[in-house]
Amino acid sequence: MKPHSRTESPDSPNDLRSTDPLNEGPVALADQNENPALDVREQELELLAIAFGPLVWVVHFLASYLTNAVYCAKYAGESGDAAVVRWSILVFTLIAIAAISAISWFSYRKHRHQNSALPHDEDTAEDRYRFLGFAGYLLSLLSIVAVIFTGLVAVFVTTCD
Amino acid sequence: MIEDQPDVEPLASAPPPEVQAAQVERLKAAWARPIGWRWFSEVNNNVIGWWYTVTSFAFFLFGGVLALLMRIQLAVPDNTFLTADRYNQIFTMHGTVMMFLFAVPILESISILLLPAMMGARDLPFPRLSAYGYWCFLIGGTFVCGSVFFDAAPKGGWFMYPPMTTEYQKGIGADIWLLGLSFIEIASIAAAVELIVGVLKCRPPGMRLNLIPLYSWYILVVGIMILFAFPPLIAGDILLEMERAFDWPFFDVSRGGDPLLWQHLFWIFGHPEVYIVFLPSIALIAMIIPTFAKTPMVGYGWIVLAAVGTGFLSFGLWVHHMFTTGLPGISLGIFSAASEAVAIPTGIQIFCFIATLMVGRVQKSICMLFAIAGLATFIIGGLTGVMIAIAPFDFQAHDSYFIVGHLHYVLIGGTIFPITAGIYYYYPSVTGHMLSERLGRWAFWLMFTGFNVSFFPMHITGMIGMPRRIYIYQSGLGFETLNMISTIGAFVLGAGILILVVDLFRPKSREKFAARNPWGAGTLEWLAASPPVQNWGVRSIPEIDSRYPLWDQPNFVRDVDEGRFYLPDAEEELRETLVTSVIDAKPVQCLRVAGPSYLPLLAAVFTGGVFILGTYYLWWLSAASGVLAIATIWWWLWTGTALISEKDSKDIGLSCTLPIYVSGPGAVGWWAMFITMLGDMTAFASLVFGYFFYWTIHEQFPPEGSSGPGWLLPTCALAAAMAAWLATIAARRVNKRNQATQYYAYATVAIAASVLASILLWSAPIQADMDPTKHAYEAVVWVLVGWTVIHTSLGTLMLVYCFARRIAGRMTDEYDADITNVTLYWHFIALTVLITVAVIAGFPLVNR
Repeated sequence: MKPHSRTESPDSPNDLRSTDPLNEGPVALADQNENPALDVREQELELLAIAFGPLVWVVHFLASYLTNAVYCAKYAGESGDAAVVRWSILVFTLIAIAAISAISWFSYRKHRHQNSALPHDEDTAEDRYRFLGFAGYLLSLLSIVAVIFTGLVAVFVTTCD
Repeated sequence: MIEDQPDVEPLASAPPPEVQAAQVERLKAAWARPIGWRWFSEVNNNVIGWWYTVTSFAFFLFGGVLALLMRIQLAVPDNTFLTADRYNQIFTMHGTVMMFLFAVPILESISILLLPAMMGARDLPFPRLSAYGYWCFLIGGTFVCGSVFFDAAPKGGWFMYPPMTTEYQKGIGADIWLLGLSFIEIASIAAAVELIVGVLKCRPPGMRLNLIPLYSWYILVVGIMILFAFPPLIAGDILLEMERAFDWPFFDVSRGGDPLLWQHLFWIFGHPEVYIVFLPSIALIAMIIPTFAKTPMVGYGWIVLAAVGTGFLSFGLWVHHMFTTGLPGISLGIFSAASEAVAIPTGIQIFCFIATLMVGRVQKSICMLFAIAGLATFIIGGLTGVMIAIAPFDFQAHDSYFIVGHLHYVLIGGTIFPITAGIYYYYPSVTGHMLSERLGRWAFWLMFTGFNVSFFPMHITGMIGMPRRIYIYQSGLGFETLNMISTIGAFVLGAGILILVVDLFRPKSREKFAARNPWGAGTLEWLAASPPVQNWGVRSIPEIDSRYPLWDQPNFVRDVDEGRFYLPDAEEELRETLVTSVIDAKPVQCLRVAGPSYLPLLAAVFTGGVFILGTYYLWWLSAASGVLAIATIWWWLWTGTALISEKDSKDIGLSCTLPIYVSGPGAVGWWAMFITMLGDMTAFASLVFGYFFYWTIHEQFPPEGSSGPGWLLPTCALAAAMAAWLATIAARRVNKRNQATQYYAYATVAIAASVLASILLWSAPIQADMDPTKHAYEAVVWVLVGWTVIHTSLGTLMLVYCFARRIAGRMTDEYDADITNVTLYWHFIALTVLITVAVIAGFPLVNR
């Protein structure tokens, strides 16, 4: 991008922005909550971050479905036992729940940044930061429920039939 | 805490009246609509959005007439009103028209029309792309619909299942469907790119992500969904058309194919599609409810959760359309679970709407009648949806009229009623006139009653055993009364829609214009003047401090109207709008948007030629049309994009100076390329999925007696493609340093290497004597090779374009958007070639 002459606010020395979102610096996470110099200025990846929970669901969903589809089609036969698949899905589910729990913890901290309450509708960078944390938090809760739904299938269905 | 930038305030005093008047004159000149026959060259979002909406509404009426014909046929047993063949054409076209020519396009068109206004933008970032999409839609839609009048329409159902459509229907109907709709899908993806970039980059300054209108959230989600849902269908269309036209046996079981692959690809598109049409409709309700409840939406964050969550989960539902195809139990369970889970976000947003209505003081209106009817109807459809998401229940209800009842409750409740609410709501902002309350009441009660009388009995008809998609039934089976009731209901519904149409199109020139912002809404689109006269949207682009600026920001309308905010002028008399940053909407660019041009129309005509001539297997003419299309698009890009401006930056008022030309990730063009290529990669991934799908169904894959393409030629092709990619990156770098000679050298290397890559990859299956009609394995290898070679060849063309641009002085070290975007394209191409070679050459090695 060409530099432009718009008067920016005095940028802090630790400006994380770069012109390339693929080479973005780390997203300012809420674990720096107590840090008074917390940088809530915009990071382009911040929008993507609200979808991290659902993205874990996607990976879990595809892993569970593909493992089952391939195993039943290639190895087990039509009414074969699916124990391998069930154990795999159990493992996938535990990993996914752990990952989403971490994501939901980080987003919750963003949402509760400086103990501010909803609705996060002020025209400030802090409220935008909290709002994205809140959206990410809700989405990660939904993702945990959806992952558990998928995981439960392996509890109740036992064969490839 | 690091302080954020202080908020910008509008000018303290209005500019003198003569200054304001001069500004308005210049804006008028810049945005003047072409008159007379040149009107068809207009590309502004207001005009294109309006044409688009009217066209898709016309297709809706056409689809409705087809539905009435079906209801006449089914009114009485043993009816001879329609023949079986005619009936099949009509029900296929009804589904096709309603889904592809009405539901998706009208929501895109409404967004093209209204989204810039909701975000205080003067236009969308790529007006000519919108125009191109519109003309593609008009040409393709007319072609597909026209086939009914020549007894040549597709008749395989809106889902076109093979082998019905490959072995038993030899006419051109299925080709019209496959090619005509692929063409329209391109238009849909074009609109999706436009809308995603619009929401992310063209918001007014200060409209941070926590302040954007809910409509924009929904449209962002829907745009991304289109990007991942439509490409699998395009991939499926390619496979099915290759089988029909050239006998490549993708779905022919006797030669290693499998019809289930089509069902997977179709429903990976088809189920998200339901939410692609539902979410923008519910988005209209999300704009209407706060206005009539006179209070901000309750649970803004929860609605964002609902929109994004539904967007994701809706991709995990497709197999519930295939519960009876004999898939393993765990697979059914996984999709059943996701189908139940999607009810959670859907329910949450409905609770938010109800809560808002309870908190506020609701004002009665026709809009609210339709909005609430939509919610109620959708809830009923959603509940029957939860029933049939349970696989054992679905085994019973599958392919019965229960499903017809269910899907119409979802689609009419989820789209038609909300869209009608939206029409009543936004009609004054678009035309300056109100629709009649009295006629509206008639239309509503007829539509609502007619709809329920028509579709509720279908649940029972299905439960007592009437299968769907039949053109006739015998008497004495208990279907007579229920079918007659459904037919009567359908005509009552039709009468309601007729009243709506009369109200929409009756002349209103003698009526007084509506008041400005007649409903007292709080969002930006209601800045629109009444009567609406300007093409440029807002008088000045405001700084936003609230989710409902018209309610919350003092003197807001006055400040906008007096030009106290940004960009109140068009000094150069060029069309301009603001580009802002993704997260906090800080102004980053003053974007010059394109003005009127015939090129999009011309490009659409030639692109249409490729598909329409292809339908008749006129391959040479089709190819010639393709060459003309490419030439037109070249001309369009050459004369209309990445133009070097007469100055570097521009003062847009309120002491803000912005660059006019931006390249790289800050530029809207870069984003458009990135987003388009995500969709492109999804289509490619669907083809790769096909390869591995065949692997799972065959004992041995590659099959006995099939020679693969070997590893030598594909690996050489990969090496050449990587060389082209690296040379492209190097060319961009040296161009940036203004080392012209080196730039030309690297670009030449890249061009040569990319041509070599195409030739080597294409030769691999030829040299191995692979016959694509022999087995699905050969066919799928060929289709991967073909896909990749088309992409490397396009890459070559783009490199030649950049070479020529630099020679012509239209690209320099500083103004380098062309080569930057082409480099981005090549990142994706390098990945495509790598995956193709790994699959066709690598997989047989490890799998032997």
